[in-house]
Amino acid sequence: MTINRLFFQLSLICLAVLLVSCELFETNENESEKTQQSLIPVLLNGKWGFIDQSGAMKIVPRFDEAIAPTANSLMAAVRIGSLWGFIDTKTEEMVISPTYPQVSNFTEDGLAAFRNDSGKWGFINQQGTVTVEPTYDFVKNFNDGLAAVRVQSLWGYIDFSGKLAIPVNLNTANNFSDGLASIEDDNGWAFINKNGTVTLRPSFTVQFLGDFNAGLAPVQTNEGWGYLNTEGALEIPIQYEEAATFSEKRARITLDNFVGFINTKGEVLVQPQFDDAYDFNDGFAAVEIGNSWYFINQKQGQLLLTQSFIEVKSFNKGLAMVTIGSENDRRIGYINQEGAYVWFPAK
Amino acid sequence: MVSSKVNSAAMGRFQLLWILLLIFGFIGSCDELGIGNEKDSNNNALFPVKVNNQYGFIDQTGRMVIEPKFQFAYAFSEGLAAVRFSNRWHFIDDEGDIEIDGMGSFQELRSFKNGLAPIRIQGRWGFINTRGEVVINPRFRSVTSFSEDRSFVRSLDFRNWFYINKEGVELKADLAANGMDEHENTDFKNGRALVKDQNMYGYLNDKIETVIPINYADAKVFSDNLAAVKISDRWAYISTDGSIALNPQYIAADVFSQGMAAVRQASNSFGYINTDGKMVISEQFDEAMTFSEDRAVVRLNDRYGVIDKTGNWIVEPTYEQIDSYENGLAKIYRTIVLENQNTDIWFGYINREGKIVWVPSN
Repeated sequence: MTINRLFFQLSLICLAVLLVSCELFETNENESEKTQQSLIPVLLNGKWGFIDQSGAMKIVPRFDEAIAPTANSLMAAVRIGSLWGFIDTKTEEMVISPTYPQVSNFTEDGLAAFRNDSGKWGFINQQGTVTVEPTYDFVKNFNDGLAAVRVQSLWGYIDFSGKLAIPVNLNTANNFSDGLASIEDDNGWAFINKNGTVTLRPSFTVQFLGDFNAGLAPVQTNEGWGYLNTEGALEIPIQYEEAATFSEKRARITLDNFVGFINTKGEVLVQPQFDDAYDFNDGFAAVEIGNSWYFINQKQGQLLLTQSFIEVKSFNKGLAMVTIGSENDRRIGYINQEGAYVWFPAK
Repeated sequence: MVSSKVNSAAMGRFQLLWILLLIFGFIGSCDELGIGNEKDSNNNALFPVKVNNQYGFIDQTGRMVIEPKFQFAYAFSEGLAAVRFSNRWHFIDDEGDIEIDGMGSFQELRSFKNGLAPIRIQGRWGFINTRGEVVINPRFRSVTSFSEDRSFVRSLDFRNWFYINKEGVELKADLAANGMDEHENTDFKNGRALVKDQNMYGYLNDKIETVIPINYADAKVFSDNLAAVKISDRWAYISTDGSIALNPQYIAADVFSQGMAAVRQASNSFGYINTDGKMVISEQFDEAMTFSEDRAVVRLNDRYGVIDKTGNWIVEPTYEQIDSYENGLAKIYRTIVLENQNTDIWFGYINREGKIVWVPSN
């Protein structure tokens, strides 16, 4: 064998080895791409600050509480003393100084709900301008351009400008999704469109209607829970002790006191086995086993092998906030979707 | 393996260097990918030993290969051994490196079998594969190690026992309820497993259908395609189709292994028959274990020894206890009376020739 030929063969082997090992790097890259979008809040020495993906401290811990942005928002709610404001995690600037006793996260519509000193709720935009005056006793977040608002015990819906789109005369009002919202009026539960017209009223007695997702809405009768399709027919029969709205094509259901997951065909994908669970988000669902929290993947519902957590939040942009320790000694960290720490639990 | 390859190739120093570099490069990247875990479990088998209350591993010759540093250690199986240190369970490879980090979540575990190892998390059993991925979630109250791709499990609500396949899917049985529980032998062997109803035994096939009727007051698992069953007050052996292979004639009968089974036929002592029912080692032992690696542990009075397949003594009956041979060694035990009158059980190993390779230690 000549040296040249040997080299040629070695190069081929080299290439093969490289190709195989590249797979590793690829996944890492994808992950960092997903997570690099914004800063994440961390707890250090009793105060909250923000780190970037590499774990570098970007905003020195000085907040009493900080909440990671959800959806595609970059605005993180922060609390100083008893008041909430927002920082822009991209520019790392405090955009809305702490003025509100309570706030929600910003939604995709670029609005966040806030509560003022007198206990009334309104909305602000990302510049901190009040777009809906605080006149409501309670509000839910905007979905499909409408937000449910409560005046005393009755609900209606407003649009972005704060104008009432659907009059305040409903007993219950849930979020719009796919142009429909489940509501309860004096005639019982029904779905309305954005004009407030009832488009669907089940032909049977219903105790609760949940939000539509993937064309299915959880429905509760005296017999238990099932799922309704957009025609109002029972697509998945009443057979569960509890059933939640679909998320990432999976829905939480309870049978014999254990929580599992079904797909949109009503097939059990993850046998009921958990004491509690959150919805799937970012390809993972948090699950409670005994008194401990873990995560399962969306594909096969397999447990991600991690240490056990006393509390977790759902995965968001590739990371999940996890809490270890005990009730009096809580340490908060972040894991990635391989179950490895990107921020080791601290307090 | 590596050195023989390099030696056999006639090439210059320059090329050799390249090959070596490549091989190391390749091994390095494989580790990360979790491949290259296939290890020859027989030639370089390792065995746990206890020294100063810490567990390490020796090879077949008694040489210490992984220094004692573990609180507990199981034997190697399928290239991995479960060890406990800092109060946490992990699986290590034969160099003592952690291959599967239990993250402190494993409360209990067992060795790998059929590629899966049972693990207990929060009081519930599931299975991991050799890459450390949880392939069957912890959702059973008890499980058996997989045998012929079947595991016998107890449901989360404690109410039912049933078989699952390696995907964790319950295999529906034709019998309403399997009367077996986690304390009985529910392993599959020769495509058959015991099934019980109203204290009578029969056998299932791998589809969990009762293929040998539930007719026997007592029965043992199949092995060498024969199973001991009790018919009235005598034991017989049946074939996997349920037909009688050896007529009811034994007062006691054990499972076959390596073509031999310990039985008591005409005396108060045990001998060994072959699969034709011929008594090949005469009835002479007070206790007789199954053959493994051409050796069987037998007892005379209160001492254990080892015989070969012709019935010759390999180890005279001098030990308090001996386990079956595995990968060329058998574990021996010795009770030590401590100063405070408490007793401690120490263990060591003998090889196939009966020579001590590790004196019982603690």
